[in-house]
Amino acid sequence: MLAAPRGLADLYVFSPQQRLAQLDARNETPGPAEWTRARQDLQRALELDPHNPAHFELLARWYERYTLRLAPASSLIPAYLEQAAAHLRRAAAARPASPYTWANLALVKLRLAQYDAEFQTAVANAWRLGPWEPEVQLALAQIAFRAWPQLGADAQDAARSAMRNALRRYDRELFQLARLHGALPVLCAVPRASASPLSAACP
Amino acid sequence: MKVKAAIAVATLTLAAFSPLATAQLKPGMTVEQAQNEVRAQVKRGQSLQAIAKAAVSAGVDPALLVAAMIAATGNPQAAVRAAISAGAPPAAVVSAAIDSGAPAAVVVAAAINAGAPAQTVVAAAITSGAPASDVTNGAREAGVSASVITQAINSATPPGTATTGPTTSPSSNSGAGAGGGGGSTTIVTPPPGSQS
Repeated sequence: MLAAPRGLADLYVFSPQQRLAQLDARNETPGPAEWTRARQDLQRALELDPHNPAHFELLARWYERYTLRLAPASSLIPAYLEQAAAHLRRAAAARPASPYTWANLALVKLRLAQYDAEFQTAVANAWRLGPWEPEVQLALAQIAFRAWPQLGADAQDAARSAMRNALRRYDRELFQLARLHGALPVLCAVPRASASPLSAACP
Repeated sequence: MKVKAAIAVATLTLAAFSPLATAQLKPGMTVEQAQNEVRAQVKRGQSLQAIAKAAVSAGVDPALLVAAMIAATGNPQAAVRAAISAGAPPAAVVSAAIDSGAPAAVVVAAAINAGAPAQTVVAAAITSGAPASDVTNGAREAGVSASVITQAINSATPPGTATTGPTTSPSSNSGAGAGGGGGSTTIVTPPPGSQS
């Protein structure tokens, strides 16, 4: 009996999931009509399968992705990011061992400029649960480059460790990100940074 | 006497716990909490105008209110009209409605018909990135003269800027794995199979 609503929920999720993957791959933002449709589909999926953390996380990602389309001064951006954070909290509560969920919560809070205890915990948890996940490593590096002074000691340790691991294979991406955010000193202070041929750019 | 008193108590209790007495949009709600609240109140027979009025007096962010009403009803026209009639700032209402995905022409027409000043409405729509043609259509539908529309659009558009709305534009994706991008973040995608 329980499988029927879940199966139906999966049907509602399919299209928004595919479309978001496509947007990710093309580095694009959704148009208003597809955003409205995706949100309706995912809300319907959550009505049918209200405890599925994957649905919460997907809807959070749609909210976040859509804000990238809006003008920076749009007053809906904080409202939608808060909604994304709320969904990620639900996802994290249901799936506390997912480093991706914690990394995403940290990224959304970074955009909200909320460097509170929840943010620090999210950074630390993302590292603790996914030290070798490249996406998590690079997300934590990005957080470090944009908000290093706002990170507490534990979160700084987590971000530094994530960058150290990422430097083994993703030094090019890390240096590119650090340069983009004007944060080369943060990256260059990581022990393994000097081993990269790109460290010639270090100040 | 005892019976009368019991009835009075029961009536008061019912009034205190009836949905209309307790339900209200409050500042600090998320968009979806507000959306669910609007949907529930509409289901109970409340008008959008009454909901918007209560929300505005309670200090709910007008942008969040408009987005929630549109999402709850699927009727941007009614949501814009209700918010403006409730005293929410027209520019905020128009921007929020367009930003939440409502068609610009519908939003502009509804806002002007609800009594918002045409120049303010047009400027807000253009600033939100709505295509000038849609804004023009909406304003014309609301009975605004072509010369006023042109003037409003010109004054809202920075010189040398195209007045077409945003298309599917590249996001500033500096998400992990992409290894580059702009100032905004975008959240990360777990690899397939890693989350189950």
